[in-house]
Amino acid sequence: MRRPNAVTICALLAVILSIPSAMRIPLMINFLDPEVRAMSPLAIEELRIKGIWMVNADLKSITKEGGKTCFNWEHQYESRSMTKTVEFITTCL
Amino acid sequence: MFNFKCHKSQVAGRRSCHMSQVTGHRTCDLRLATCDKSCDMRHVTCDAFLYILILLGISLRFIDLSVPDFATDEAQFALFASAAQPPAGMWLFWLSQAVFGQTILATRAVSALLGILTILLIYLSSRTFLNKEASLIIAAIASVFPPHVIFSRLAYLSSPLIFAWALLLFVFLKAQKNPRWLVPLFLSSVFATFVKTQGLLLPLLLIIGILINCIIQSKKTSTALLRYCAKSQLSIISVLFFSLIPITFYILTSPGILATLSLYGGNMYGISGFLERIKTLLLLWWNLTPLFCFLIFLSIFSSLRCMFTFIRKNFSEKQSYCATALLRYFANSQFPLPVFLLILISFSTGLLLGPSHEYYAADLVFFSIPIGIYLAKWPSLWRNAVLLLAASTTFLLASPRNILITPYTHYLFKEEGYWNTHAEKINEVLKNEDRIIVLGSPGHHIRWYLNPEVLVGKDMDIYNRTGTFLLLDKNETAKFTGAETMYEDEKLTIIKSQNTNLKSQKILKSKS
Repeated sequence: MRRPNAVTICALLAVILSIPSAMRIPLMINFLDPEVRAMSPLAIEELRIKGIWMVNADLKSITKEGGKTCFNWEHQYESRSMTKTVEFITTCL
Repeated sequence: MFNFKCHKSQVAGRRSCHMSQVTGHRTCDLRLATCDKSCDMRHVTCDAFLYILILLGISLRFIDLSVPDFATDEAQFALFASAAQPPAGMWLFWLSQAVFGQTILATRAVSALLGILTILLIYLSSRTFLNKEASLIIAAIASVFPPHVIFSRLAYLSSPLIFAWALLLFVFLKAQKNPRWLVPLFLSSVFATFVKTQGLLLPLLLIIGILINCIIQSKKTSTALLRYCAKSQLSIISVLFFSLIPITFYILTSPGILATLSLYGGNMYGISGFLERIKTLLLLWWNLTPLFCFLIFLSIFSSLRCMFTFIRKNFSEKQSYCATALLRYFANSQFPLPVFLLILISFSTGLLLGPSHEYYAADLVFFSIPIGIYLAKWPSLWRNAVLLLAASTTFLLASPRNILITPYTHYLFKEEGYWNTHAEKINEVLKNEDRIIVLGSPGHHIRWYLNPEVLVGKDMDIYNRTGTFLLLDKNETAKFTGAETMYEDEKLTIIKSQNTNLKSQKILKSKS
């Protein structure tokens, strides 16, 4: 049997390594909407008012509900000594 | 096409040849092979001296690892919580903590280890196009290169990135001679891009550099050019191109990286205030490493002199354009294209991404290659004297604290960090608190050192809020009257408050 070409192996590896990022494309597509782009700094501000470290908040989805843009976050406080349970935060603007 | 013939050194009787990365021909440089007689006669002594310098550099990387406090960036990487960088570098820190425990020592040991492996990789890469002696000189310079020594002791992503670039350099040079190295080339390139965002600069510039060389080398029709490139370079270009796909997807789908780019783009990142940037950068380098700055300047001057001699000769003999001659020089010069690109990157990252950031100065370690090539031509006595002086200045900057603290000791290592010495006491005061609010400008290191949950109070509405407050700014205490002071020292105050006073209400109202 012929051994696969090194370049082909690299192409396949590139596809495999891109899959985790590609899964986030549907989330990122929301940012093509100018309204979402305009609201996103305000959504971050809402989290900051709660005293949350932004690095502990992960944006999971963006939805439109009743004319409002809702940002759905998964927040989990982490420090060296503790990892708190996950809480889901929704910011509608 | 170039077809240099190999010369045999009259003095050392050795050849110094390397494969041209574009033509695939063996090229030779008599100057590199030439070693002065005195050195050759005392070869063992010369080597021993260089090995001692390398050992000194290695040991300096493992000293005082836990002395400075974790900086905010270090804590962010150690906690695996940076949204602005890809994950590979942080994985390494996490892995070390998983094995050896969540300590500063375990985290920074990763940088130290990778710093040492970088010296080995720079040596092995140099061996692919230089003789053993010149490569040892380069390794010795890299091992005592001050900013690299300092940042090999800290848990920034500088040391992992430099290691990843050095690995890519080594694998690239191997892949040019043997296609078995193509998959390792892909993996090392992906690794470099996933350690830190700017890691992608090297593979990207390699693709551009190879393509430009292809175009320059071909004097024939476009079909011939395509055939030529397809034959000799297409596999490498393809592999490097594929290696950039995962990081491209990662950046485009990471809001944190895009937000960082939009936040700093144009002011910190870029060329705004170019002359001021140059001034800041040069001052920073000079303060960190004056002797090495001088050596960098000399090596650049020497390289430029060689380059202009080549261009002048090439220009007059073959009537070619100056730009063509310049690129031909790089195709056949003392150091291969990736080395030249790394030198370019090491200079430009600091200039373009933040001239006042010390950690970019660690990238300058790749200048050890032109410095080593330059010093290899010197008589051994003078060369060893310069190397000894260079090692001494590094020792003064990064000497072990319990042996020697000098006015030249790097500021981070002069005194034990505040948080390293006070965190235990502060945590004892806070042992009954589940949650505290920090006022002032807290860094991520707060989450590393303090046990309770920390809320960032900067944007919070603290009026009428009860709880425990940690005040990093002494002026913040004015907002709280009648509150119980739980702890106070020269840096911070901890208070327990039922609510903020009227004064703070006025402050907040005037702010709004």
